[in-house]
Amino acid sequence: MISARGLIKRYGDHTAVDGIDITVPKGQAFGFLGPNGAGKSTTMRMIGCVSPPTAGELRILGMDAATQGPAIRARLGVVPQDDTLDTELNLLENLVIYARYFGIKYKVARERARELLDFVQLSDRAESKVEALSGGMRRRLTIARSLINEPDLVMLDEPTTGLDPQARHLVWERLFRLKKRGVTLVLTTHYMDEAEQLCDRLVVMDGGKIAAEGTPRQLIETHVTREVVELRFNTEDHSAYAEKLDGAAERVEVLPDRVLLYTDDGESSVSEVHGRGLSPASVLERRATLEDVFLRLTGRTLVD
Amino acid sequence: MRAGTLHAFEHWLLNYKRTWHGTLFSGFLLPVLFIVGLGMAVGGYVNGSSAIGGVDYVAFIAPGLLASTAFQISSGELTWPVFAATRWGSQYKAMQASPLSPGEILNGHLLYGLLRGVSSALFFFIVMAVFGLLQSAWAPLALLAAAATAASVIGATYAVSMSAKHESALSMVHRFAILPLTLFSAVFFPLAQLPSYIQPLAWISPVWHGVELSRAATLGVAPPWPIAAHIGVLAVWAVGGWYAARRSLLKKLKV
Amino acid sequence: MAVMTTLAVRNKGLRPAPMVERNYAVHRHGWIMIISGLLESLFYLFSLGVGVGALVKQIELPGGRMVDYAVFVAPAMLANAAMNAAVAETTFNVFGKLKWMKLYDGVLATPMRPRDVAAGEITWALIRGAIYSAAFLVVMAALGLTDTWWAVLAFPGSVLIGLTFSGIGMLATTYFRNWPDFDWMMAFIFVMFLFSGSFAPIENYPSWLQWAVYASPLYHGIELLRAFSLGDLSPMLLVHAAYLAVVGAVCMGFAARRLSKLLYK
Ligand SMILES: Nc1ncnc2c1ncn2[C@@H]1O[C@H](COP(=O)(O)OP(=O)(O)O)[C@@H](O)[C@H]1O
Ligand SMILES: [Mg+2]
Repeated sequence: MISARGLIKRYGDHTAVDGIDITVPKGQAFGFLGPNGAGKSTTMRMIGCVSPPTAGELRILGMDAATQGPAIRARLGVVPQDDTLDTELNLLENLVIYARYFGIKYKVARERARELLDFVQLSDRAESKVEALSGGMRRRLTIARSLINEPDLVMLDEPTTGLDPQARHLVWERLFRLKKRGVTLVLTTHYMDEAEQLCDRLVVMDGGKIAAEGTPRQLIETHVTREVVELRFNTEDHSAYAEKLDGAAERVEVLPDRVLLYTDDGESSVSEVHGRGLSPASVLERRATLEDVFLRLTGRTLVD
Repeated sequence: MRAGTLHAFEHWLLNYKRTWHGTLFSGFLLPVLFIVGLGMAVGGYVNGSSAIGGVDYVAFIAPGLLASTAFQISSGELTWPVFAATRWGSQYKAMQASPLSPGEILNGHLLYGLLRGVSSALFFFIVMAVFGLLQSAWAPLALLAAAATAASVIGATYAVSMSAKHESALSMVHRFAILPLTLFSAVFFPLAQLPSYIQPLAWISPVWHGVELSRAATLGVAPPWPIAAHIGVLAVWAVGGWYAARRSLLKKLKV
Repeated sequence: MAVMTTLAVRNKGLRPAPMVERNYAVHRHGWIMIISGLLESLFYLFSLGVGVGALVKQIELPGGRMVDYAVFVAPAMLANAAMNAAVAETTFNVFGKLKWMKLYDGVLATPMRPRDVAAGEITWALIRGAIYSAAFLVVMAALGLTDTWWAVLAFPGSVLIGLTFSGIGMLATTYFRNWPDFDWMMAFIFVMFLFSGSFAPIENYPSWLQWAVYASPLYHGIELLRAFSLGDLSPMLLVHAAYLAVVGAVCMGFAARRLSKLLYK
């Protein structure tokens, strides 16, 4: 469905996407994970054929992105990061007019628009203006809009960022249904639970490059240990424990408020800690998550 | 004048420091272009005609433009900015949080609108002097007439903009009030050229009274009505407008 | 597959229709705005044409023919109305959609291309301008400001003016950064309005100014419409029309290209 080789995007002398290779087969749910500014949206816009790559090869649905943009876009559904809904039209008109941009016949457009409003549970709002919608409703409307041309490939850029839990679960549930119908999904997110729930395959992006790639399980196995033990001590300064815990696990990470032990066997690590005569105020053993992978690969410093 | 009014006024003045370059054209250049363009084109046909009192066409329209510019700038300044101040701009919210009373907020804004119009008029007055269009010792009074024209409309414009429900109402104010008042208040041709059944409409137009007073001053002739009558109409507009503006603001601030 | 082939076939041509349909959906209930736009140009006609005309009475055309001043000014007001409608639509409205509403960012995720968007907006501006012009012509005829059937040609003439100024407006919009820029554009438009022979034959101007006026597309528009409404045809009209067409086409070409650059970031 998508194949990118050495894809590069520069803005002036700033490189937003720095030579990435990706392959997305049909029917897969493919995720881009990464901190703000990693280049996720830029990549999505290049795949959406609204941003010409500076260099590299990009083929989508068997066509060349550089020369066949309109034909590719005819078969894509796009949910951009900032909805870009038409604020001068009501919900139904938003969908119908959008269908017209695809050259879909008016009658068909109206039917699909009604169905899709139903699909995202906004039928009772068909006549309201976009401005009157909450963030979650807008997102759902944008998702409905992206499906108006019955696309083979749907691209979602941070579909649930800023939504409340109810709205997120509704969006996830709708995306699951699409996946079941065999629609190929490409999405970006910085929610690990979203990535774990929805994606068959992931890439972690950082600074315009791909830092890691694989299924969620593979990523955890390759980049972190199976389990993580979180220790808190009664102290202002945890850094003193770095030395004392050295070797107690495969990797020890000291944070201002706690110490993390990356280990394949949590219990033996905990007894090792006690064996060294240390008595943490609290001990938490848990399975390693994508979040650990993410933080490991992209660092803990805030980027914004 | 109370200090609060000056504070509110200052707010708008500071705001103007950021946006002034966008007002150069409408505030200063436009009336000058009018006298050059129309003076050159129409002047050749009507200079010295008895219908305009035997003067040159530029000398006839310039005092009219003086008053109508003051009117346009002052009222223009009190449409979108007033509408926005309680909505998107929410400048009034910030002012309300300070110890300013509604009356001070109102007067400060009106004063700013008035001075914008007067400063444009002052600039144009100097241009008139340079072009030799001030033909009487009474001419400086034309500035007063222009100021009075601006003063007579600021309250009413404020009231309408403050109570407007939707932005589109402001375009309507421009198209159906400000523009026709400019075009049909004897700025470009004497009232007598209008059909007699329309003339009474101009009598209630504050702009017409301002234009006639201004013209009387620069040409040194008697205005069509007694001076007191012209001033009286302007005063009624000014006072009535101020009360309407006050009412509209109080109503808005309550909800 | 069927959709794809039709699109591939259509890929070459322009698709202005969807954008027009979108604008129609927005303005379906906004006809008051359209009527008020027409009234605005009629106000100018009554004031600077009929009102000032009562002062001037008759003027002599360069050929020696005497006409009422209002008859002379009316076609200029029509040309001006056509210009204003086109400029308002392609500058204020398009800029709002481009920079504030980010509307086109959404549109371009579909098979629509920047040139389809530009063509659609220009078509819409022409439709709106054509409504003004037709109504204005009817008023002109009703007031006896024209008395020849040639005046019917002033309608396509004003559509041509609309085309030229839509192109100019679109191109200008791609250069605008913020609202104060519009003030300067309005200044430019207004200077053209005053000095393009609206109020007197430009033969009355000093000769250096005449040469500047020849560059003004509005001047050529006014000459065209005035010739039609006075029934005063000459081969020069082809020159005026050609000038308008060329300026319009060149501006549109550049506008579409610049719009691509702005939107395909
Ligand atoms: N239109 C643009 N012009 C200049 N720089 C841009 C533009 N769009 C994105 N960038 C830059 O490219 C980098 C990647 O941005 P983006 O793709 O939006 O990241 P993400 O979606 O992962 O948060 C950022 O540093 C951003 O500032
Ligand atoms: Mg992003």
